[in-house]
Formats: sequence, structure tokens, C-alpha cells
Amino acid sequence: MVSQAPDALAVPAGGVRYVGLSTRAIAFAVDAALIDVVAVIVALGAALILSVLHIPGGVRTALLALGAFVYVAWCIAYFVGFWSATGQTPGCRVMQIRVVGSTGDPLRPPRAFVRCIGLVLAAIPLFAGYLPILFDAQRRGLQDYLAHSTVVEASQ
Amino acid sequence: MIAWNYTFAVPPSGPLTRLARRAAASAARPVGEAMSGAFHTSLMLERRALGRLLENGEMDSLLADSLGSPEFELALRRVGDSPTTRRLIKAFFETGIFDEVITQLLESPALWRLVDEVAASPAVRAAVMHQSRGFADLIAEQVRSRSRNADDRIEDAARRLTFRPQRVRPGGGPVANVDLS
Repeated sequence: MVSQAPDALAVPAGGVRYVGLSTRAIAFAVDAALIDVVAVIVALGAALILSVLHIPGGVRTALLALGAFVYVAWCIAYFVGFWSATGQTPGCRVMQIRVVGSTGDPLRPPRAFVRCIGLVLAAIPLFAGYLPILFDAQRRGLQDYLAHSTVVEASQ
Repeated sequence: MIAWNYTFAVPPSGPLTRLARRAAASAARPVGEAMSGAFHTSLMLERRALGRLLENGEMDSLLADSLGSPEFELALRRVGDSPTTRRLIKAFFETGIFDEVITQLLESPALWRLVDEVAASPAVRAAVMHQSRGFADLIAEQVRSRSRNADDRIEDAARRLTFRPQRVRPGGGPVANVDLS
């Protein structure tokens, strides 16, 4: 899969290149926008329905917690679904990149889930988990180390 | 030399004159009828000839030959290039007739119906969509190209900051553009 020289950027089989930080950040921003647009539309619908119903304070709090849980589930389902299906989220498709496993195939759902958790973990220490992308020969971040994945170019 | 007798300006009204008039009228009638018949016959013949010409398709080929001939094209070009034509066109626009026509056209509801019909047609919609998609693809391509460059630049900057040697990249220099083909 990888041909590597000392301090050289590795090249995966097929001649495509590993993708760097800014391209991945743009793809992630597109995905975040899509996720939020859907979430806002659903939240507005739910808020409109709830506004005409008389709901006690305790139930309202429970509904808020449920909404937060649904939002997190939606985010995880979005990434895990796309990464394990085609290896490309809509943002990745726009930027023509693909998340692949060590064999070059799309990740399996458990590894896609691990990578999703890795995304969050990498962001917790002031995004320090993403810094290895700048120095690793395969441009891998913490999430890639955890899920044994890489991000490569994918011409459409 | 003819010597005109102006005394006929006031016609004489004797019995002889009346007789002469009647005789002249009787003589002229068959001539008039003959002429009228000849006219009708010629008209009928002309129509029949024209009908035959159109039925045979000779007129079509004649028209096609005339319009497709280089002489016609040359004549048309000459007319178009002549200063008189240009002057006439200029005069036409200066009269304000064209402005009036445009104003009337814009006020006509039929025009806007036509515009709506054209805008709603699937062919026009497909063309607009195709063009929009092409524009979006162009922008996306630009963003991709620039982001690939930015990847390399950020990486180089990070390596400089950490005193690491610049990375050797396959297929070009440190900030070589990426071939997506």
C-alpha cells in the first residue's frame, strides 16, 4: 500500500496522494454545515410543535436532553454511515477525497465509529490531535491512528 | 400637319350627329367585348400556367437556385454594404418607430406569456441547470486546487517551525500542485 522514503511524503498504491490538513478541514466544514442545516430544520419543526402544547418544566428538560442525544446520534450516524458505505461524506465528495482503511477499502462500521470518536478526542486538547497530519508521512491524525485509516485523493 | 377644329368642344346636336354617335357605339361594342374576352382568357391562362409551375415544383427549384446562387449572395452583400442602406437603417432608427415597436412589444401581455413559456420549457431549464452545475464545478475545482496547495504550504511552515527538513514530495517541488486526473 505504501512506498516510503526517509522524510518523504508516502504515496499510496495507484499514485494518488494523501490529503492534508486544509483540504480535510474544508470537507469537514461542508459536512458540519449539512449536519447543522438538517438539525436546525428538525429542531425548528419540533419547537413549533412544542410551542402549541402545554408541557411541564420537567418534561421540557427531558425533551431537551432527548434532542441533544438525537443530535449526537445524527452526527455519528452521518459520519459512520458515509465512511463505511463509500468512504466519502458529501464534504469529502466536494473535495474529492476518500477515507479508506489500510487495505484501501472503505472502513467497516465499528472502525468508522472509532474514527468518529477519534475526531472528538483529537479536538479536545485544543485540536492538538490533528497536528500529526502535518508531520506524518501518510498525513494521519489521531482519529486515523485509532481507526487505522488514511485520507486519500479520489477523482470522481 | 393636323389642323384641330376647336368648334367640336361644344358638340353639335343635329340628327346627323346623333346617328353618327349611335353608329360609333354599335361599332365599338363588339370591339370592347372582344377585348374583355381576351383579357379574361389571358388571365385564365396566366393562372393556369402559374398553377402548373407551382405543382411541378419548378418554382421551388427556381427559388432555391436563385437564393443559393453566388450572384444573389453578392447582390445581397452589395446592398448590405451600400451607404444608402446604412443611411436608410439609420433613418429608420431615428424616426423612433423602432422605439415605439419595442415599447408596444414590452407592454404586450403576449410577449410575457411567450417569455414564461420559453422559461418554463424543459430545454431551457436543462440548459440553465447544466450551466449552473458547470459553474459550481469550476468553483469547486478552484477550491480543491488551492486547498491542495495550502496543504503543502501549511505542512512546510509547520516543518520550518519545528526545525525539520522540508518534505520531499513525489511529482514536484514542495508546493507542487496535485494532478487530479
